[in-house]
Amino acid sequence: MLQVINLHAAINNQQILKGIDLHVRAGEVHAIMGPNGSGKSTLAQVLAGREHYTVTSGDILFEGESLLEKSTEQRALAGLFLAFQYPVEIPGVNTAYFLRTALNTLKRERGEKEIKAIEFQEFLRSKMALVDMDESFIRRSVNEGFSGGEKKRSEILQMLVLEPKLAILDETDSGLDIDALKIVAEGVNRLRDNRNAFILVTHYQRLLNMIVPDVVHVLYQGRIVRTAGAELALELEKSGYDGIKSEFNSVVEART
Amino acid sequence: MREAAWVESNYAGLAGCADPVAGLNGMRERALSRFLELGIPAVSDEEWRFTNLSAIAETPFKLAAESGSSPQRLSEARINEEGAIELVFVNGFYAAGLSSPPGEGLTVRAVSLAGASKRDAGLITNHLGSLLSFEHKAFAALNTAFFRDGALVVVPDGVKMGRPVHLIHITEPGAEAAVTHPRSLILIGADAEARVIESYSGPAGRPYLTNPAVEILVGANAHLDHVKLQDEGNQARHIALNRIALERDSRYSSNVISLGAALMRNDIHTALKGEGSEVQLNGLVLAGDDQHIDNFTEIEHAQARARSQELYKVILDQRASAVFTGRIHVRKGAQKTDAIQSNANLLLSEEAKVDTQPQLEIYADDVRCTHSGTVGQIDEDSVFYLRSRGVSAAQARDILIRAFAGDVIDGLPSHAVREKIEVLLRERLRGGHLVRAAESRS
Repeated sequence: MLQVINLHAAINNQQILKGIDLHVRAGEVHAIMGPNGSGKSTLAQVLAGREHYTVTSGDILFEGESLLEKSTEQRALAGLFLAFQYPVEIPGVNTAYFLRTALNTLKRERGEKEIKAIEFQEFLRSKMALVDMDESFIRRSVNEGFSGGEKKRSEILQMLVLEPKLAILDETDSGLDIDALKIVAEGVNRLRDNRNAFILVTHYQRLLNMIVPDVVHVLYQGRIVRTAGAELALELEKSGYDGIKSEFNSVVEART
Repeated sequence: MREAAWVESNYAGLAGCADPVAGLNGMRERALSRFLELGIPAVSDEEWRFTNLSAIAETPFKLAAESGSSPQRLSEARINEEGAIELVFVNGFYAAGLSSPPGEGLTVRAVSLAGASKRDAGLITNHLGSLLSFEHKAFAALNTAFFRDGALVVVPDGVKMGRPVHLIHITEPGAEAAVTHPRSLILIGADAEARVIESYSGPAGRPYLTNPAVEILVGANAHLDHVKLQDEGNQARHIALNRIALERDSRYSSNVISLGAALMRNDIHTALKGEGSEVQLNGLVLAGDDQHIDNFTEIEHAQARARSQELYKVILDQRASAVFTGRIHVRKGAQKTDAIQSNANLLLSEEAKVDTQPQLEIYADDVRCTHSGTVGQIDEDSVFYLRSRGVSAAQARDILIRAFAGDVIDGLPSHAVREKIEVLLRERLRGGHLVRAAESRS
């Protein structure tokens, strides 16, 4: 589904991603872990097409097609979804209106019939129940005045509405209490099937107890330095990143 | 002086013209001589620092002649509201054939000033010019000197009107640049409720000047919602004065939507003359190209326990410029005054320019007055967020512009008016930029 090939990306002439290779197949859940500043969020943003970042070399293939020339919205319409680490508050834009606009844009793209306002409300309510979202959500502006937990649940709700092929969750678990974390995990597990895939960007093992990944990668200094199964996350939980850091640094030193 | 020549050329032969209403007792002559003393304000005048009127002083206008109206313009001006009372003025003259006044014999009156009955003539004599002084305002003097007609709206004590009164002002210039000075008087009795909509429009590509003056009295415990929709042609100049006085416990909302005109100055003075009265001044500006839109507002807290809220949202593109002045005077003894003022500006281009000036004069000690002025651009993080959900960049920007205007539009006093403004706004939004109304309709 997604192939990231030797991806290099920079912001303000500063190289952040220094050759990422990643292969995500349909039906898989990948976790990307790593210490702060290693480039995890950058990777998520570059995949979503954030224009701040320049891809300096490499490629991103989504279902065989390069995404590099595609705009953020074209990527979304192709089936990519980014759950933001810091969802933006947008006063004056009604959440239900916005989500219906987004869903209908997708439906048009897929050649499906658009959903009417009343029908959408029913549909949205059914999804709201899944993430334990209060009724007032429908009337509120996008993320405006939401608590941290509400924002993250709103991201999951949007994911459930838009049903992407590939969802990238950028630290959706951070700052959540255990109940909210469960809601997020249930959202992913509910959507998860053999036709879609997930990339979970996270610091912590605890989300991965609830969403068991197929593959765990460790990102450090703009490179993937280790890839293994779910057991890697457990190992990191116990011993932290120090082992990986020193291993990586000695490799770098040896090279220079 | 140049004003004398300007007046002579614009209004030649009018000196001997009969007053359109009785009982003015030389008011027009006094206004004219005061105008000649004051002259057209220059930018050296503190109140006109940011608005240059030299184009007006240099244009020879002709007082507009009676005319029919383009049916399309009239239908575009209409607001789709069941039972609306419509008074149509074309070139400042009442167009009876196009109007739908309330029936005869009703207590509510909405008539042309010039066509007012004998019983209403007394009201006009008593009130016309009572709120609008031309001592210091040149364009108040000019209007008073040369108005030909306008509306008289009288809502008697205790009458709660369901349907709105819509005053439709249309300019249809002839070969020369036309000038009109519509004059209106709106009297809302005690405990009454009413809605008045004023709209102004005219052709694109033709220079003309509209100089309206409106005086409004809101009686004790009464409630008036007022909408002004300025959608003049792109070479029009619109210089308006509005004077509102509020009696005890009354409520008044002003909603000024500025879309058209090359240059607009809308001067609103609201006097909270009665204890416990409440005013809400809302404004929305949408301006592009070289438009210059100047909203000059004054709120006078003369009595205790009055509240004022002011919210002006300004959206500018291309080389457009806007001015917002928010004067608030709190008189001695106006304790427990509660005044909130906010002016937010959204710039869609590098060249657009805005001047925002809160001016608070407070002579009472137990008051709450707050003000804020902001200038910003479309938030790129928000654009990215919307795009990441599949919404196009162009649509994301339009959504965000609409959102910026949202609180003013949502505050409009009727569904039909909101719908109308939504449509006009949608027509002018194109991928995060403003296009001209004419372009959007073609």
